[in-house]
Amino acid sequence: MRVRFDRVSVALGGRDVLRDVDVEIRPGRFLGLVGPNGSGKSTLLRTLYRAVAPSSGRVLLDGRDVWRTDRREVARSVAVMTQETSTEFDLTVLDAVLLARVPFQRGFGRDTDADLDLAWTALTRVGAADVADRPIGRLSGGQRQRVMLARALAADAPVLVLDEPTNHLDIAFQLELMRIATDLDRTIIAALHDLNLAATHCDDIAVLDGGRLVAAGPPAEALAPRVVEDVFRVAVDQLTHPRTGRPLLVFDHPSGHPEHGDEIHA
Amino acid sequence: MVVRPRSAASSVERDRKVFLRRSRLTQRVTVAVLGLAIPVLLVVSGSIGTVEVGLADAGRIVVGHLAPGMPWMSDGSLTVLQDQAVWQFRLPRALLAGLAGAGLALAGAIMQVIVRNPLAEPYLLGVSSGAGVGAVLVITLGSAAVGGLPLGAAAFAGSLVACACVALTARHRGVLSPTRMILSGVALGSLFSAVTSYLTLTTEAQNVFSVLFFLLGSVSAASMSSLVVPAVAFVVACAVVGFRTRAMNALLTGDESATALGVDVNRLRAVLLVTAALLTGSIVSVSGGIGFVGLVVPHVARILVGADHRRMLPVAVLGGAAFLMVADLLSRTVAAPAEVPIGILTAVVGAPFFLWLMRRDTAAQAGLDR
Repeated sequence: MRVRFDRVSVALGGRDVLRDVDVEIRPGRFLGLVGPNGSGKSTLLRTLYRAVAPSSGRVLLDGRDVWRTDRREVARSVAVMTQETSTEFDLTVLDAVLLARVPFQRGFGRDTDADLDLAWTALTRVGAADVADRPIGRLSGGQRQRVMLARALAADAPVLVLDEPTNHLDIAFQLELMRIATDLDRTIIAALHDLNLAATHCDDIAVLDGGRLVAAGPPAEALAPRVVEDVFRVAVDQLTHPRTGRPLLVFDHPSGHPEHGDEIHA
Repeated sequence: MVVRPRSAASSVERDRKVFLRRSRLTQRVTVAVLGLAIPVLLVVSGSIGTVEVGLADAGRIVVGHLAPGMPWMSDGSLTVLQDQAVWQFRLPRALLAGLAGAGLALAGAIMQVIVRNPLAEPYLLGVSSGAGVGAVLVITLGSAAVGGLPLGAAAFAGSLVACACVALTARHRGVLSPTRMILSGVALGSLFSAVTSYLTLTTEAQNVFSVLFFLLGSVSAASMSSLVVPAVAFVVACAVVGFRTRAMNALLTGDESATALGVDVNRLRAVLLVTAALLTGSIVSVSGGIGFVGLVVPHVARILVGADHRRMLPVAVLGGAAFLMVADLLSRTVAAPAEVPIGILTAVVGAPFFLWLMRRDTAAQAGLDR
């Protein structure tokens, strides 16, 4: 499924959070959304799953405006791994994953075998099948992220939205999660903080700064040192990973970087 | 955490079946036990009291009224007094107790999910304090003070006015936020209670007893006709909630993820709020402010069968009914011939039971350790 943000602007409480963001993700591609804290990554994702309405512009799924489509229908197309989950009342892990099937059903009905299969396959895939009967509030932060990923997978939706999915995760599961995501044949949009994780796994990168799209394209291009230094205010060198051939970024303090210092004096 | 290799798929499958069967079994047994307890409690309620009626006779009177043409209704084996005691006094109050218990437990479960707070209860939005003002106005100043409404109607009107005030003050830019709802409910609740207290203190002494009886809650004035409004409200509430149990489950995990699951969170909250308010108001106007049931029964249900509303709501509704029916039986027997207000008994019986349940291991699993 093709996702397009068509000149999307969002104003919240009189402040422009996004301004004229225009990005398209072709079917089956994996877009990494990067940018400093508060640059509007999450807000852009939220316009897609109908949590924040754009003040102007459109968000299109295969050409259909999500804000003019039934919200349940949107939820059937877009699965979301949100940042936080409330655990005031605890569902078991399996019940929490089965929530992915909410947009597909109504009422008191029992979960179908197909629902259970999807939930169980997703739990097995993220390596959390053995905690299926545990209350979700008793899991560690990392285990909880696995369960949230399993919920997003169990929706079996053509578009997958991941909002900072690697928070709280150790490096092994960060890589495992990105591997699971890249193995899927779905359109994926992920807000990521780790630029190298993004550069290694995403097909394309979009860079947001202060609510504006400042660069978009293949990782080596979108994460060019000029862009990263400007947006993140750090010194950076782009190397090439000796084994994968992917771009690899090495960071330094802006002042502690001799070349950067030269540039300033130049 | 163990990442299972693919070859272990069959053992995962087996684990899954065992696990599903176990969790369904607890729920079914609980529902079956409670479902059987309720008719038994009705018959027991029918046989206990000053006019002697045996268990079997009480059962025959109930069946005789429901099914026409039963021989024992006309062969003179039952006296008119027995028939009246069971059908006009004991059965209505047992039914009202059951209805109030079921309704308050349902309203409590709804309120807890609306504000996503375990301390929420049906009276959170000022429903009982508003009803209190309505009822106390009638008791102290007479019906004329509220435009000629009888006590029940005045209490119902008071509860709806209070609830509307809370909802309106909590609304901000079209959004009902849980924290604002709780705080404005508490603030307006104490305002209404102040009015009630003032009216109570300034009235004649003989009225004070009636006021207290209403505020503590009682089902002793029940008649078959007084059951109609709360019964209709309960059925409607069950239908409204029945179609939204999955959406309510989604709401448990937060507004953001519920939205992502296609739930219109604002609308769901508004619909559930109106439902809970009407249900609670209709019950309070007949039986007064019976406490404890709406707060605690939903938690007991969660501890027993988990937080999934499809499993916990039937347990909460049946459990609430059975619990208040037992409390009503006790309220008219422990100090007979005097009657202890049911609201006192719910707390005296319920609090120790709940504290015991809360300290068990299963409670920790239900999230009570935080």
